[in-house]
Amino acid sequence: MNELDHLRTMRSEIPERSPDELALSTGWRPGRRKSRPVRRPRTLPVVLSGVAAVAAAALFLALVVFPGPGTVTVGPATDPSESEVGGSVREVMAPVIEAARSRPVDGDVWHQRLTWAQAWGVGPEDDRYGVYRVYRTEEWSWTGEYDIDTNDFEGEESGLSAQRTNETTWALVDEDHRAAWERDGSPEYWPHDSETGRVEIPTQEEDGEITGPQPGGWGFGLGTVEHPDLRSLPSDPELLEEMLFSVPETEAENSAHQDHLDNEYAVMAENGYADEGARRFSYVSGALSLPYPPEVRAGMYTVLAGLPGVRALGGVTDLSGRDAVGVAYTLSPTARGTFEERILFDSETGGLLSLEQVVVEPAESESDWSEPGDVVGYTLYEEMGWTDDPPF
Amino acid sequence: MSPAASRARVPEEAGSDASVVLRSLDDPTDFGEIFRRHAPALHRYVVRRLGRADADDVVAETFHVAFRERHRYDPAYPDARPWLWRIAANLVRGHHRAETRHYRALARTGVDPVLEGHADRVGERVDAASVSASLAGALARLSKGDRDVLLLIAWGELTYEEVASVLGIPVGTVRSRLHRARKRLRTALPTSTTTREEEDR
Repeated sequence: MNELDHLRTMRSEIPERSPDELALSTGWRPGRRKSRPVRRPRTLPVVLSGVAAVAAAALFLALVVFPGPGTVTVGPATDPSESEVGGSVREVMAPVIEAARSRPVDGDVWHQRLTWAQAWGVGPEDDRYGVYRVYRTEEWSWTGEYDIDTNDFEGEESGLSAQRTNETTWALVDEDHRAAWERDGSPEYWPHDSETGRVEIPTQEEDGEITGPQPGGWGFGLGTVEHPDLRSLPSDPELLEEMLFSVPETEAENSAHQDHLDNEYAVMAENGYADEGARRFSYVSGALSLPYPPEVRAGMYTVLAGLPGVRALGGVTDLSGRDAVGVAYTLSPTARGTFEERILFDSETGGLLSLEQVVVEPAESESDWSEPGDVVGYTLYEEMGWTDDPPF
Repeated sequence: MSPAASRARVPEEAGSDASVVLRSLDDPTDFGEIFRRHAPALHRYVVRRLGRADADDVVAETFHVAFRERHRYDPAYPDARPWLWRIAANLVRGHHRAETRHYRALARTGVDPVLEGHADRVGERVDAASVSASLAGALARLSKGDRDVLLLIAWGELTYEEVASVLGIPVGTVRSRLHRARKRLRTALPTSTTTREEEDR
């Protein structure tokens, strides 16, 4: 038995009660406040007044990574049916693909340093402003010998990873709203809100400690891939697409897996990935930061450039001001609004710079604090590449 | 009290949670079906964390909030579990200090304040009690974030993605917090109690 099994034993001692018993003991009835006397004062989370009603189900998808604070401007959406747009995607991505193909692998450890953030409307109902919940993290992946039970660096070689949260913090989405923030008392912390389910900003994290090494790979489209497998991935874009978009054989017969997929699709639709084309875009954009060999990276970029519905972005900057080119994709409307996802690259090195989610049109409920062009989510890669130094 | 919450006016074949929630917009008593489907698992999880009394409060408040917010439920989401567990997870967080006291009490005395009437099984529980006490000591020392991730997975049986969704954090953070928490638990356990096992997913 491992420690999780022992934990589960602790819960096995708790019987599951029937709905009837619970209806009695909790006193819950639809539409009525419970009538049980409150036996002691309870501290419920502070509910921020005036936080707009965002559907609880519309909230989190922290899984989806998006762009950063507002240096990016959104132009009018180009019509993806124009054939010259497809041509211009190829033009814009060609140097990125070639640069990725020729970039040497000069280390054994794949290292990324990134900032991830998501924006929320906060403050009084009639005077809201947007803030980002920000994470600054670092990640390493490599293959090595490691025994997870003894914590010794010996034994079978496998893919390993390590992470460190360097900082959790907050930032204003739009400097124009600084006055509203000051009127709200210049807060530096927003407690979680039980009405909307929004978690606290910033998150209280333990800073600075490396976690790992731990085994485990990455999601790769509908399947998964481990670090040692990456070396043998095909570089042919068609073969890569096949791997990304087909259910792994081991799961194909499994009806529970299909239920899980259905739920995942519902969650993706919630976030604007409402059809197969959009889901494929999401799978590819989520798989761009893996430690691919150069030809495979070039193949993945080619897959991205060939997806229907992507539009070219040339001569833009990412939110830290680095020159960039890339692609954009307009998502379906969601409860929070309509967004465009941008993926930006360095055309000289072929490096992935950022993923950014930009407001095309905010929902009515969010229109008091966010406007077209606002970047409401982002992942900014400050560093991504090979090094010789594993973290352990 | 009225058994309306528990009486299954909506038959089991009523369809997805989403369709039940939608129907409850016209007939509020239909929301009782959501309670029937989800309250038992949720309650069991919260009891393990907070004890029976606080669990009753938290579960009642969870369904009260959910009921009040049901008009915002997105019908594209067939399963209400992430939504409900998100509300409950935030409420449990509000009881963080009380929960830590539970674990400390168990660690010190070997008596689990959350259990009721298991005196008849004292004999077989001696070994289990000492392991629980060691685990409880480690649980008491975990950060809120690490504890939430660990217990949503171990006691809530959520997937990594569901935990990420419930807590509003990236999946990578779920993994790193779980790893850290498990490592701490492992060092707290007497070495004879753990065996070489593949890491659970």
